[in-house]
Amino acid sequence: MGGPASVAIRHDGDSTEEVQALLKTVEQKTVGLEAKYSRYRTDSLISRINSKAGDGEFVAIDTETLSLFNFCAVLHEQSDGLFDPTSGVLREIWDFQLGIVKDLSRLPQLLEKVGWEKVEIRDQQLRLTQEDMALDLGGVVKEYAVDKSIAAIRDAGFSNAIVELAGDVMAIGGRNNDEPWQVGICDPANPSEPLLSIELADAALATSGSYHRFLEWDGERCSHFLNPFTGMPIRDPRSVSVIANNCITAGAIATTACLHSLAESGVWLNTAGLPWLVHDAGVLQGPIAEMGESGGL
Amino acid sequence: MAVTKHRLDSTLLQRLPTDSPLIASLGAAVASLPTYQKAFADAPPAFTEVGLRYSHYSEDSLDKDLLVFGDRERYDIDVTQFWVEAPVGGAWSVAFDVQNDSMSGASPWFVGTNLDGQPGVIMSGASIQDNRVEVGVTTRYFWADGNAGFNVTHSDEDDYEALAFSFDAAWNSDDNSRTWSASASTSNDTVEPVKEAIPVFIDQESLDTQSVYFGVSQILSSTAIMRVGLGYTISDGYLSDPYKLFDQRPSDHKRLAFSTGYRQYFVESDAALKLDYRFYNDDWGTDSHTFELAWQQSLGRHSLTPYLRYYSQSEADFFSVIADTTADFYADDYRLSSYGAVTAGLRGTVALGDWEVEGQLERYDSDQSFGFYGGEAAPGLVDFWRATVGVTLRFD
Repeated sequence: MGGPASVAIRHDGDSTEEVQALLKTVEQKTVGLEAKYSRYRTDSLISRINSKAGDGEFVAIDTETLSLFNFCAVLHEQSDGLFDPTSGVLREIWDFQLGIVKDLSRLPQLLEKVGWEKVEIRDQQLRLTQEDMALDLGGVVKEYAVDKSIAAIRDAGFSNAIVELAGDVMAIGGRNNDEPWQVGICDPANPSEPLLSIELADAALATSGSYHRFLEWDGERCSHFLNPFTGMPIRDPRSVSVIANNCITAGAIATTACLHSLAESGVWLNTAGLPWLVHDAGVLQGPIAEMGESGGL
Repeated sequence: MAVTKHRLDSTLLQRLPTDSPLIASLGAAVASLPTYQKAFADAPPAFTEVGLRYSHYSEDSLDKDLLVFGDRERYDIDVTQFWVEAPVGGAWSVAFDVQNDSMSGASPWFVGTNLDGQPGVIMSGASIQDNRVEVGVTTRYFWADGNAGFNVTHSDEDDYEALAFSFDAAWNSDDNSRTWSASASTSNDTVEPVKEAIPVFIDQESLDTQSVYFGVSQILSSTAIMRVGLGYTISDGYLSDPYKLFDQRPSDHKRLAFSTGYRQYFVESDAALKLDYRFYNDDWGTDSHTFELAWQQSLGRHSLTPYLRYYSQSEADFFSVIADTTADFYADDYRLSSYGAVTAGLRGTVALGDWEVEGQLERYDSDQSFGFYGGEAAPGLVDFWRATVGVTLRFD
């Protein structure tokens, strides 16, 4: 999932074995989602779909996958196309792993491979209609894994837990009877130093940002978020955090906010009506930043 | 850098305005996944809410040109409401509400003619003082796809007692984009008019009322929601006004009401436009139309909502400005006449931590010429001011 993972479950001393088994289950579910949806794994469902791009063949998908693609479709429509799971091919030009820009002349050619409208979903089958198209569910799977882990913990009868995957968090119940779970939002300039500490209960906090992945181009720092219409990286790199009742929603709103310009991201975040925070060049904006010591929003 | 601690949890999330259409659309896309089925289930409130509200209603004095006899002063009513709603267990909620109405003033007794032969109002004499107390209890059950509630309400005043039962239910479509709702109610009322300043001609009478309602709301887009509803009501029994000298109404009354509403959210303005329309028709010959326009402007956690309402109704078949007592049914009650009314109001809310303070001021003016139906102008039409203040507290 691209980062550290941690799970904490509060229980009485008699449930230790049960909790250990549950942690194994949670780990298996998370690893299972990675195996299914990672574009880096040649045996994943996503890689299988991508390998058949343009050959006309439909690939059968299960209910879980169909629902995730429905989620992407809704987010694509609601974001006026900015969120697009087919834009990953653009990384053939923008290599954020190495921090370099490769052959920019290929941009028009690659843009022809981008576009959610080129994905065809029929019943529970999917195909990519253009050769060399590629799907990337990196924008939703990690957050979905957090929600799925929490659901497994609840189903096992535990109501106090916190799950974190690479910076996205969901907390239920409390750390103990008097103390809620505490979560930090990182300072992009100093990722190891928390900017805000939040007491979270029965809510998810997802953060998207470019403080881990970026590159320098044309004298500017560019985030790893790519505009699917122009193929260019979004400038004004920033960190966006959103709180929602589940992680997939919080992450979707935060990720899409990063795909907007800095000026338009506030409009998008207000559309969602959820608590949000934008950290840009040392300036904090949003309802989370405006909270006072009284602790109210 | 100093670390600032803030408490931010789902109870605060639930105190925010209800899910935007965008969030509802995203939720609908994954609602079928087991991971989210409990998460998107209908649920009782996560906190207890206690509220207190006071309203003062004051009718304008009757125009002296329209008065034949009596005091020009009309009704003043002070309404105090108190309510508590709390979750019970994981799937229930209980609400208790009590309302006290304190009324004083006079109302039109009948319409006669003044010295110029023009219709004028004879008022009911000395100012009355009356107090009404209404108590209601509602219990509600929540399940994954909806909720259902049962309510009992009892109302008691010097000359009127009513006991009502109602049941309502709402359920969501599989994709959570549509909500169906229905309700049914029955009420038994007893009227025992007070014999004071004016004569009354009944000792005790009763009436029964049953009503049903069906409605549906639909998310249209990330920023728009629409609803429609249809209600039908039947009353049977004593339906005349015992405090009107010339008032003989049919012993049954059937009413149909169609309503629709549209909400459009404007993200950049952080505001919402609200449009509502209601059509009413009954078997006494009355039709009416109500149009309401409101603009809810968010100001951070606070809000300001100016609104405008327009109403027009046609007269009942047996209404006449001066009652025709030779007919089987007759009434000169201005509420059955043809008229139009315009209401302008402003409502504001201020959020202070767990508290919310509200204030509202409304002005209502009516006149036969405001309406688009023909008919004679009833001299007793009322204009009024209403002011409301309230406070609500939510806590775990």
